Amino acid sequence: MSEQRPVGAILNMLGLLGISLILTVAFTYQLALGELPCPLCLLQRAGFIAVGMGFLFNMRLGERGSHYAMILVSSLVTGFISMRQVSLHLAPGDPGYGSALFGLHFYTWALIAAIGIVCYVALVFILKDVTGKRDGDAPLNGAASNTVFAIFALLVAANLLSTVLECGAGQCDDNPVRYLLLK
Amino acid sequence: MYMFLPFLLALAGCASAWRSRAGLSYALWSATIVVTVAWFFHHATDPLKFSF
Repeated sequence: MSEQRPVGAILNMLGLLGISLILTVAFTYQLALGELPCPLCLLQRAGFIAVGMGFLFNMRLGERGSHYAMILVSSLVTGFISMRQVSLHLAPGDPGYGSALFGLHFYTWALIAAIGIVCYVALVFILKDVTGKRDGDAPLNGAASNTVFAIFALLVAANLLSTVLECGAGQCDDNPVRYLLLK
Repeated sequence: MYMFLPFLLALAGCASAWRSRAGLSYALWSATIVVTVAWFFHHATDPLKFSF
């Protein structure tokens, strides 16, 4: 007998895929264009990873209100960090930091994404209520969820490796131009 | 100041979630957030020229 997967489980998997997509785009720009992330950029990535951990906990440890609280807190932290960077480059004539994607710099996209994640969590709560499935409490162990988990974990590991190469065992330059350990 | 620390903590959090160790996963998520915020305050030192 096949049991229908709770809507919360699917939405959490999609949420984690979305976070993985954000990290992949940032990483693609870093590797393809050689744009090294600044300290605030790295902290925004760490914030998105913390958001992803909330989705991940819902998938692996079972769906809990506290996991959604973790997602919201991480989104707030990411939003504040990106807001700070937006403020640094807000003055007229400031070219901004790094490349732009569809006319907006990545820290602006990060702010939009952080707000979007809060809206997404609100949508998850609404959809769970609408479909009448409020307690999708069981952890996910299927092939699809394991694949999404592996992609996210791989991206976290890649960010760890790249940050070690870029910054070594210290703090990064404000405007890094080369990997510290690859000189 | 280890810039890689948030990523290391997060990776350890993922590993502990994979092993279904809830308490350790929550502790590592909390540590990731605390370190990220601490590093943010360490870097956000320039005053912004705004008035509200």
